[in-house]
Amino acid sequence: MTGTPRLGADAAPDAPASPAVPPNSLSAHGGPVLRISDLHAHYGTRARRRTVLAGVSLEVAAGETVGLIGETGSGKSTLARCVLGLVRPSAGSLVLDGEDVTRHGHRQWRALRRRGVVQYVFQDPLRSLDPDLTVAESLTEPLLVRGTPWTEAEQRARTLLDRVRLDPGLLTRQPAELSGGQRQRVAVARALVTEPRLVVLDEPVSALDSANRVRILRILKELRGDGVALLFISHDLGSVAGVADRITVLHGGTLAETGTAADVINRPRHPYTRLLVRSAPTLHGTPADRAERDSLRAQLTH
Amino acid sequence: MTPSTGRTVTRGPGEARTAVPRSTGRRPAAPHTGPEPAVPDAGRPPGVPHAVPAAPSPLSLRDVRITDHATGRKLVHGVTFDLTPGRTVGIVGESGSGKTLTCRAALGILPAHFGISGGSIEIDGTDIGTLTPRAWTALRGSTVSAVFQDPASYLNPSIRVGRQIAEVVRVKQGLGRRAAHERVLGLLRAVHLRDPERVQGQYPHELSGGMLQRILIATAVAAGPRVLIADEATTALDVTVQAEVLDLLAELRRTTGLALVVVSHDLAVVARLCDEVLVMRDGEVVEQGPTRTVLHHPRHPYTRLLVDEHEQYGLDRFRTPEEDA
Amino acid sequence: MRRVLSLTSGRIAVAVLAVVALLAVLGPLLAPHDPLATSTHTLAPASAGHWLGTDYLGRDVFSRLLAGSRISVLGSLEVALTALVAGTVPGILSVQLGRVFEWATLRLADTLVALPFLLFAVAVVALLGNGLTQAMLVTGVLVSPLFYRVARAATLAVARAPYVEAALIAGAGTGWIVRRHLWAKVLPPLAVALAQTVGTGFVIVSSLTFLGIGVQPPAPTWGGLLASDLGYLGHQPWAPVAPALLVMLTVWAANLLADALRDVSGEAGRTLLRGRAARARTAAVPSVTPTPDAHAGGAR
Repeated sequence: MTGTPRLGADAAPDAPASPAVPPNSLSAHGGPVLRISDLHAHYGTRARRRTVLAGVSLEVAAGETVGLIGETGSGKSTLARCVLGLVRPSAGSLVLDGEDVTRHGHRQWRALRRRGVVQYVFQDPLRSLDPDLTVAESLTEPLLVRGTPWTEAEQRARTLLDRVRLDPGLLTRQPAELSGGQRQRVAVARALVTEPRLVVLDEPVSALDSANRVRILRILKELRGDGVALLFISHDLGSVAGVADRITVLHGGTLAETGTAADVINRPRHPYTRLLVRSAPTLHGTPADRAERDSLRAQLTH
Repeated sequence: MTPSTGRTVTRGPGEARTAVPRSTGRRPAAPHTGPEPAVPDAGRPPGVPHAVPAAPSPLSLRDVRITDHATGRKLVHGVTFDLTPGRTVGIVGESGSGKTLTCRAALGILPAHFGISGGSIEIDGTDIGTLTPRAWTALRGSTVSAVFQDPASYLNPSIRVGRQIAEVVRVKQGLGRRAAHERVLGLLRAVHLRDPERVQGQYPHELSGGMLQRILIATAVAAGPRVLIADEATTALDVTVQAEVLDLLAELRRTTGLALVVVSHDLAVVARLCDEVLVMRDGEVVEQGPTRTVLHHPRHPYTRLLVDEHEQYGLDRFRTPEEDA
Repeated sequence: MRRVLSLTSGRIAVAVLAVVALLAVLGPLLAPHDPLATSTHTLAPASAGHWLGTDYLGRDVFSRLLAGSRISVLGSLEVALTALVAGTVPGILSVQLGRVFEWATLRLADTLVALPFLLFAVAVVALLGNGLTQAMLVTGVLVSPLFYRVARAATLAVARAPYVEAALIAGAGTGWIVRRHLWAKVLPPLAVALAQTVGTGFVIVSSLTFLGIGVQPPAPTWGGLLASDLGYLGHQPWAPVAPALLVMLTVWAANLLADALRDVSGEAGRTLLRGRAARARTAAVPSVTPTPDAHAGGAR
């Protein structure tokens, strides 16, 4: 509930593994839940091919939260869509929970999804829940798709609402009756309903105000104890810094830097990371002025 | 919806000053009072007037209260602040805290059946309760102006951006076609858009969010306003772009004496720009004072909570104390 | 449906259509005379015995109108339902299935739109024999591109919505997504299109029978009546008024229902109704004491 103490992350070892992995949460096969190696992705036809990802490697272990930072056009959303099987990578490999999914077709993806291995939380809480369904119907969907009986699924939905600290009375409501923050918590609960190994969160707090943002980040921190692997994607360094064990920075479809959260933020090595860190406004300390940012940008183009 | 439907408590002879002549041209770089105000406004009871300034304050709110007349609910209970040229006031709070309503009241664009139920707002010495819709139209843009969160929705997607800015300049400043074009290029240069000639001929969908926000800022300052209200203006932008836009606002303030109202739920954005900060919760100003004092030594438990959460779940989590020089 | 009835226009439309439906079911039984019985009183004006007079063969016009209502109503329903099924299913699937299916159905829809339906109906009737069902099925297929477009547009609008993707990521198949998410979004615009088509269906049945396609002349229909009456305009200028009015009224009611459906469906409709409810609530309670649920509602 209290989260990590402020300097706790500083004390974390430099090892890439999570500082707090419960012993029972190791992946069934012992390896990381998600392993991406040298992933490439393109959009468009051969004539107008646009490279979105050019050789990205990334690992997320059970119980670990990895932050993926990138601005518009960095390829971060494409990476997420690759992990979910919505975009087919053009090269490299993608291993999910010990299963190589790089060449999976529709049928294999559906089988994998029905096992509830990987779930997703979208940015826009306004559109991520079907306006015609009740909260209960949305929450139970991943279970009902697998053929779980309604009463059992509803029971599970109730438990999860409690997890995200929402009143079970909301089960019969429709999304329009919920606030943005409540909707996003429902979306998080839906992602957890199948006890997934990995949850991909694409800008989960960017549309929320600070109080709701903190509420979601707290819930995400608590999940670590369950052994869920989280891939937290955002353009906002601040939110990611709040929960991530490790941070990977994407820049123009390539990996700029990866390391522990404390290292990446306190001792950024890549000029782009430095630009990001120094551009972010903070309560304490002075951010970079235009001259410093321009000089960092100049280093990037070389 | 005109502001006159709200029951406005007028104070003093504001109405007599409606006809104060105002140059509509761009203001010369006015000497401003510096970033740190001499007298913090914290704790001043609402009724007690400020020391009367020599020139009228570009925007001054006195104990402003806002009520939703449809439900009878009071949504804002007394907001007071004063702007002087070059000064920046920040308002922080959650959604629903009344920060956006306060700004909308100052712009005369409260939603239907919301009204000012107490206190007063003066723009350039004129009580807004006395303004006719026509006077409001003349005032908006040329004295108070605003930029909001989602820049794309404030531009017409089927008109080139240059023409949209030119329209504002031509209506507000009565410039001819050619002069307006020159002015647009000057404005685009002022907001640091590279290659203004090319940008002005583009359509909104061809430009990035950061560029659009800069164009909206250019449009907002086109008629040389004295006050710019930025309501979550950088929230949707990438971090590096946000830094550019914040710098731009600071620069405009420095070079033109523009006074700013910065509304944000991000404490750090407010810390970056503002001289004075108001912390709002449920329509109430729970703490108000110089930014440094409020954010570094918060007294109200709610402010303390906001600052703590920010430090724990943000970049400041990793900042070591010695950096805070 | 309850939402439609909360609008005055919806209530009127439903009432008129209910009367028309009653006419269709009971009409032939209510007819005071045999609609096919001829008499020597040809072209008689309205009288106590013949409320709307008689036609050129001395048949009772009122009885013929009542007797013709069943065929007219059935015919237009047949057109509308054929079009609904023939258009909606490929319309939804054109978004969900692959590119080939999409391309093929799109081109087919374009082709159907390009065919002049009266000529086509004449040709098909010539081929399959003159019968109401044949004629109506053909017309239905020709009108189906409307439903195809409507269903496709509504599906496209939500097919990329995050909640549809969320269902996909949860492992849902096409069937599940259509049933659970798409159907509710496609239904309201389809209902509007259906009501409109029932309206046009009357005109089509009428114009086809007017031409003698679909129904053989002695059997009465509204359109047929109109046609024969028009032949005797010189003798009885008022005669076409009754069948014309009936057709007009029904088409108008169907369109009214379509409008009412559109008004109350979708996000905009929900907001409209919620706004009304809220206004009713604030009117009911004195505004000095905000109710607890006004608090809950205004919290955001």
